[in-house]
Amino acid sequence: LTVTLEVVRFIQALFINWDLDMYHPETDTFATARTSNLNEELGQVRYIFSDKTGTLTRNIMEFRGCSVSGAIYHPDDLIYGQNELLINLEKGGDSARDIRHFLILLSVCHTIIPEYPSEDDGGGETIYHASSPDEIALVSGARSLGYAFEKRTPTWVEIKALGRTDRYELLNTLEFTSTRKRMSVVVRSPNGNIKVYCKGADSVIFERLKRDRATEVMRRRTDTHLHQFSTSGLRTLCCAMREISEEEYNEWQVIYKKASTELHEREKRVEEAAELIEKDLHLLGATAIEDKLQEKVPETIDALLKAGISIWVLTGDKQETAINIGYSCRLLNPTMELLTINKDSKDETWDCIVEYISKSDATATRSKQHMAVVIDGATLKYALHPDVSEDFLALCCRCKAVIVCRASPMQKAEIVELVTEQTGDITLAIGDGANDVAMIQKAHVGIGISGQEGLQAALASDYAIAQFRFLTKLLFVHGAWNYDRMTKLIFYSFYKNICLYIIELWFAIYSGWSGQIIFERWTIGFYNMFFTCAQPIAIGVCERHYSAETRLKYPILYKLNQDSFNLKSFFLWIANSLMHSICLFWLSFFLYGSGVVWSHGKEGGYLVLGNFIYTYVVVVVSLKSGLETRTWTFFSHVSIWGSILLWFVFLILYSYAYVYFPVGQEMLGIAGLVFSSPVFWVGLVVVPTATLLPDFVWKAMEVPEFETLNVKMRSFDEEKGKLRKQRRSHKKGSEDLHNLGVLQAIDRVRNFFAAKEIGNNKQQAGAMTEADMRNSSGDTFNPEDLLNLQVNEDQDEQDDESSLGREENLNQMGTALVVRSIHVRKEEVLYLDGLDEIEIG
Amino acid sequence: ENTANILTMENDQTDYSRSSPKKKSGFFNDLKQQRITAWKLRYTESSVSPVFIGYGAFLVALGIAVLLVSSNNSSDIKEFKIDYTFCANVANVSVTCAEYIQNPQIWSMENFQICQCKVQFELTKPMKGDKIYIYYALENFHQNLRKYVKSKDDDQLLGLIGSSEQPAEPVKDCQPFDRDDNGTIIFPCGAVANSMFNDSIQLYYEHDLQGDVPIVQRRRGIAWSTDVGYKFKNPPEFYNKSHPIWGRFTKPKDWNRTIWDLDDSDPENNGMENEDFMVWMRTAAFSKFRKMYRIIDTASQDILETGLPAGTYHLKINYTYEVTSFQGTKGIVLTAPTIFGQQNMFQGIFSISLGGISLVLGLLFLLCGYTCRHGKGSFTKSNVVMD
Repeated sequence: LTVTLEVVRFIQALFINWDLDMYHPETDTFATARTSNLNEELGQVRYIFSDKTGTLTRNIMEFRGCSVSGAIYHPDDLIYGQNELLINLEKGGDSARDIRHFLILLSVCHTIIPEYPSEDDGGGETIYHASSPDEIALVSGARSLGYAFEKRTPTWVEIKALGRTDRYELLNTLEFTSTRKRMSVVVRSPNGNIKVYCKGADSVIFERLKRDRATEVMRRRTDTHLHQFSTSGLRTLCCAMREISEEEYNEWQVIYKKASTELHEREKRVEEAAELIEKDLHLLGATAIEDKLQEKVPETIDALLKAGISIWVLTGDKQETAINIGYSCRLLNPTMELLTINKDSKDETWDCIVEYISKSDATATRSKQHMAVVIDGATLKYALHPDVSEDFLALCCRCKAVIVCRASPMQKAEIVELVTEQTGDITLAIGDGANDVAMIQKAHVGIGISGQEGLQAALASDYAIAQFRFLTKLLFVHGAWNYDRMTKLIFYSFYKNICLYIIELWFAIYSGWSGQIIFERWTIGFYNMFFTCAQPIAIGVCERHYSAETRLKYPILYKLNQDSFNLKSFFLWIANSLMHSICLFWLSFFLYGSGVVWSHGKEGGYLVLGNFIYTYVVVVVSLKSGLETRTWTFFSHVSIWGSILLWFVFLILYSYAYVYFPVGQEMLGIAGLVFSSPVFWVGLVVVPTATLLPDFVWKAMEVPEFETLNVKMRSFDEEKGKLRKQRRSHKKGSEDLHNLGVLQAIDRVRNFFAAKEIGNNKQQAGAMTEADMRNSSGDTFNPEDLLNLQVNEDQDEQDDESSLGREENLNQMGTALVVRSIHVRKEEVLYLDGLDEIEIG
Repeated sequence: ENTANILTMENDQTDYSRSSPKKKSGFFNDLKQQRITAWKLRYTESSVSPVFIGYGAFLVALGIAVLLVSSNNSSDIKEFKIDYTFCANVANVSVTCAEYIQNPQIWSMENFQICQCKVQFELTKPMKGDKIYIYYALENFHQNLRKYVKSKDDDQLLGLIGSSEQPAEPVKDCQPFDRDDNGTIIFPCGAVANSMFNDSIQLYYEHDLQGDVPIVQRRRGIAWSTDVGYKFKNPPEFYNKSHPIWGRFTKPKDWNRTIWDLDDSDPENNGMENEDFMVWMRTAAFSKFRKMYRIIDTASQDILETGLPAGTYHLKINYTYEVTSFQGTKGIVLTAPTIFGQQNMFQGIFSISLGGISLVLGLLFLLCGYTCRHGKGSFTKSNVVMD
């Protein structure tokens, strides 16, 4: 068994290494399995701990758009070869002034150090260095719009605004802190005016705007834009400015200086001082930066969540960034309730956690979908305290997603350890940098992102992949397959051994418990070595439970088979093998009778019977592996028929070995004896089939898994009592539903209705009644209403067929279709939710 | 046989559109990418029912054939058994031979007489066949005990007994049947050889006119050719009874003859090469077993014609083999040859019942395939394979 396992694991690891779907052409990296012992654990992962930077994201920020004075601009939107923003800038007017200030702000309000490429390198663009990649993105964005930041000295910054070099005197820099969530600079512009430029999180900027009607309008508009940006996963900052008079500045400067030289509570004082000047701001607009996610990260996360895996993002980043990324990679969605835990002491943290738990208890069933915990490193310190950790874990386990920000590498490791130890589920940690090494080593399965600069993570990992998105293939396909294979392989190995060796026990009943064996010694020895070694390997290597495509398409399958290696299955297999050994022994026993099984009347002795039984065992065990194999490949045939053949060949050779070598004296001529007996051949037909008959019947009766899904869905639907109507009115759809297996059907139905919907919307938008409009669009969408509506319409359809005019009738049906399509989607969602709940239950 | 019509092709053809120079087709590449062609077995009621029905029919036919071949029918019998464990001593009818030979005194009596039995029986119908096999059948005799099975010396059986100066030491497994009380090496040693069945049995046909006709019983051809050819050889000294080597060896304790007297009629059929001995040495699987004793060639005997005619027979037995001490029994079995060897109704009956079961199952599945599933509104007819 051990040898077989190792061989199979090795081949499985090779498969992972060979997989072209996990090949990353840009970096020319294949996935590498650095250990083969965890192949099956890849199929049981319940928790994923992911680093953010470099794993989920590429850590490359890009300026993707801005909203200035109520209009959205994208840097790539060009009109007549020129950016719309610049066109508007030239147009003049209020908005042009705002745009100018906005660009100046971007190029001035930051803490970037420029590096000038030497002449040797051929000049080129200035390279920016900053503590935060966001700033680089913003400044680069401004540069691309013609406002290039050029030089910095402690007292001034120089920018090249549309070709003209302007020097802004830096009067004060009010730096970014996590509590302030904004940064400001006080500058004297080339024309001598003093201005405060302020950029920061929307919440803090909006508080400090001027209170007038124009600003309010601006604010609203910008807010909408911000919402747009953030829903598309962009990180946003608001920009505002204020012009201040010389006197005001001087006045303030005194206060500020005093505050900044304060020995006691300086930070707080400075903050207070800053408050004085960062007020009555004029809103310029907002910026949108994309922290570019790695390829297909949202899809991957989505799939992982669907597969019932809880994802914990552990990052060193600040909270907002982490949450933003959470949204952009669909780990969080707007309907989710964020449970933020930011507390300063153990007790507060504990209280907070307990409160959230009780709250989530109240909202009970759907909680898992709709909650996410956000906790920062400082609080985590308390949450990981032995007293609190249990509750903390309980809370986190209720949530689909957990985001830990500002976590140190040690904390990452601690939290992984906590979950690994406490839940007992398989955990997976994925990361790319040296700071993830601890966490990767603590988790059951450690995955390193390879192909990028650092190798520490990849070297410390069990598996190294090039991209986060390969995780789906690794888990859903390789992991799930390998788990399924290993499960079968192990069960099968137990089975085959019990099947053969227990027969010795049955024989012992007749041999007076003397320990006499009924098989020849060497044939027993070769049982696992030759005659039954290919079958488990074939299962372990070639079995594919659901195709890779199906598995990738329906992540829920991952969850479905996760606990197939359980005690119940184990005992079923054991019982099965006992049954088989009983059948094999006693059927042969009765067939053999008193040992005269030839027409020439000679008597065979115990070894003839032994070899009868042995042959039947090999056949039964081989065929059983065939029964258990879902996908018969070339190798399955080789292993099954080959093993049987091998035994026959071996028996023949071994029977005559004694003539030439001093081995197998007892086996001499046995093959001739066995094969010349007609009873043997009758037995060869009768015994294995009789033994396997119950298994075969069971297989035939067993409801295929998709059927199970189907049934589950149906029972769920009946609970809801809704889909029936759907079916009645849509024979076609319902047939599909049965014929294709649910999941496919859902896809079909969805496409079908999506297509219909588009058509109908175009043709019959006008025909919609007001009520329909209200119901089928907008935020007040209520599925219950919709259902009622649909029921009514179903009746209408029948009642009105004759009475209504044809045209009107058509219109109504069209509307019903639209409504129904939405209905179907809703139900899908409900169904999937329901399935989740069933699974959880 | 369970794969024929339930194969559904699964072809993992995927788009190779993601053009990577390394992505090629071909068996080896498919293998590496785990997308070699696979057939998916789908066991559904309707797909397995033909298999069950076909297979069931086949088994029933087979079973009937087996039964026809091996069962007694009206005109003849295939097998006749008679137990003679407690047969009466011919010399003293008041004592059974079993009791007689258990009395230890008899062995020391000066005028030792072998206990003889006469066992009469009647064949109501003829037993047909050009050969009739005579077996001795023992019950509750464990030839399958581990120590017993091992207790023999293969070298001795091959005649490798060394020289008179240096006789080969018997293997340890032979103990305690390796040397007699005087320390002389036993040849052949071991429990198996020691316990060899040594009753001699002669079958007589009580002919109406000719009186008791002894039936000629062939002693050769009862052992396996491989045993005769490879496993049992007499030492070269065997044919020189006065060779000094024989002073170093003695016969097994419980034998009532020497190794030269196993077959008085045929000097070739003695010693290790005695076929009775070979038959005995092939140990049986269970405690109830039979071993071939003699073969009756009916064709060569006038009275017998095509087999043993119906009528009265008796066995004259030299009762020397003791079985009652371990609650054993012994008897004689006469069988006519059938394809399947001994008469064993189980083969046929089991075949038929197994066939019957699978027929019934097949029909049930057939019904089910058309009713239950459709009632539930299912998908069996679909040729779209999910997976």
